[in-house]
Amino acid sequence: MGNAPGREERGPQTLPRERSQFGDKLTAHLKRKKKEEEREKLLETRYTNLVVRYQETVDGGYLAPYGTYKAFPDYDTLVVKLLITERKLAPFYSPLDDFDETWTQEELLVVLMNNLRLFLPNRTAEDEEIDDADDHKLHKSQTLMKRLEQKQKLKALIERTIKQQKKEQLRYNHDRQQAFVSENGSTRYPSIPSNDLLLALYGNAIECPICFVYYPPHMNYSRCCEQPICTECFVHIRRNEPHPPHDVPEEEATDPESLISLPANCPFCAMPDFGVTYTPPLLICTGIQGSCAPAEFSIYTRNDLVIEEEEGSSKPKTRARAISAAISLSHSGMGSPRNSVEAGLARSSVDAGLVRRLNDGSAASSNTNLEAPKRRGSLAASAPGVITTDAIQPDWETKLMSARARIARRSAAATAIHASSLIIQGDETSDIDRRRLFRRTGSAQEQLAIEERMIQQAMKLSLLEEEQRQHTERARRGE
Amino acid sequence: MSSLPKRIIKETERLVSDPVPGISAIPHDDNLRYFDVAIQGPSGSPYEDGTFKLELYLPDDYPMCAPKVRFLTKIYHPNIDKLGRICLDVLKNNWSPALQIRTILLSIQALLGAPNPDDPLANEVAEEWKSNEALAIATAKSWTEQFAKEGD
Ligand SMILES: [Zn+2]
Ligand SMILES: [Zn+2]
Repeated sequence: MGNAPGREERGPQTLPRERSQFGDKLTAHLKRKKKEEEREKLLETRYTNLVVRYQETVDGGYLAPYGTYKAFPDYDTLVVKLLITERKLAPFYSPLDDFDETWTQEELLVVLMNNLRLFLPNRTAEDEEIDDADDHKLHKSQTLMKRLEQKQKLKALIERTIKQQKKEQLRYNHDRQQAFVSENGSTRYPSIPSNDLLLALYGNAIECPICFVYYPPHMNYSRCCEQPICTECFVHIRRNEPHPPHDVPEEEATDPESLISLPANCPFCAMPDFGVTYTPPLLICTGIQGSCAPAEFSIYTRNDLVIEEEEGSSKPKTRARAISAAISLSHSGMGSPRNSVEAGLARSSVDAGLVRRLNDGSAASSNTNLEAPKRRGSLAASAPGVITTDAIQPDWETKLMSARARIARRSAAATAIHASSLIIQGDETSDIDRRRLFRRTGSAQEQLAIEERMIQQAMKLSLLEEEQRQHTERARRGE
Repeated sequence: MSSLPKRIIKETERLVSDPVPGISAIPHDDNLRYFDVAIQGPSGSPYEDGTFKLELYLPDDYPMCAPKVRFLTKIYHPNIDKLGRICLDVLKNNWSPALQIRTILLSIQALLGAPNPDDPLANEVAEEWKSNEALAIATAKSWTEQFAKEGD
């Protein structure tokens, strides 16, 4: 208040129409700015959530992906974190590249010590293919510049994320080492998994049929055909990009409403609306919302299991493997929604079976009283316990909208190009050729620069106008 | 360049250790995502006894998106255009990450054995296939003879 009083003389009635136009423009601009800030904040949160932290552990796995896929995934990190801590989706486990059933437990432990990492090493921001689909640059210089800026910001964000992840890896390495050598390591580093836990998890590792690396056997299972799939693969499966109907080539689509976006199909049986179920391991419940810390997990201290020392054990380590075997059996094709009556029954019968097996010391023998639970059968996408791809990728609608807007803009631009005399070549020139043509002649570049200047000027004007508008507004209110 | 995903390494190994009859796929030394492919024309088809060269490239987000495959050998087929591009649903919207290089190449081989002129990519070829199948098959045979025989 009270600043720049000299402007009052200009009065509100000199620029009524322009003022309101610029005012609208500015409001829109500020709105966009705010939206942009919100978007950036969301993005920041998302990337923070993509860092694997070893203390954030559920049943020996983690809340963020290892990085088997080059690109950082696109899923809703908050939803997935929640689903994992609620044991409705398998945690992200560190994968093993190779696995051999004939390894002894000592051998397996050595392999695990040497190979389990929180995340894929040597990841760089250069690996990130940053989406740039909106490539019809003419007439949209402002959007283009903004996208370039966003791209830079995203790259910086990814670099920060990778740095953060490296720190977490170092902390993990350090703590694991300390937990191993120090006297009360398991109490000082409760989130470092015990050997028993590692063996119980990886003793019967299975290969994910999509990424070809090995994971603990309690994977997610497809709702329709009960095939295993690791959580990292699951979060990378998403709807196809919105696309025109089959017989229309991408570049020739002109009707925004004709664009199709369908829920992802099951990768294994092509059933529409892909979803998975997950049953947590019966005997492992560590970390967040678990019954003990990962360091405390021991097959010897579970008092609901009757375990006796094996006499003169030639195989001193079959027990953890037996647990692992029981887990793997209880998971092969079951995956019924947890907390159901059946799950409770299955739990007690598997526990009993396990005790018998442990007493037998026969982890590998297949003919025991431990029955594999009945196959679950196919479930509807809406059945309780089913997590669909759409449920963790809720942004498909936004994507469809922007793809539609893109087509609408493109056909408008194409019409404009036709009308102007910019086209040198004949009518058969495709959209792509046209774009190439412009790039080569450089006219697009020039146009860009001019438009940029114009926009900057308009922005400056509009800011001035807004300042004045506020001023006169205040004057009118008599402040 | 960052390291190759385990899946690609293992698929390549398995293609070597357990090859598909009538199909070979060999990665380039300097780019392990780029394969030289050769497919034998299925017997009983106009492409019989022909060896068709293709290129196959695994994009960065493979296996979440389909490999890019293109015929290098000239071929007369209603679902393959002049540039060697292939109209095959599993290479486009029906791609599934559970499919592999092996299964894709088998599908392409099957496509040679069962042309589908109702879903064409090469329109003139499809027209000919529909209006005069005998002639179209003869043309396909002669192209096979001309372009797809070893010893060039
Ligand atoms: Zn996987
Ligand atoms: Zn299925």
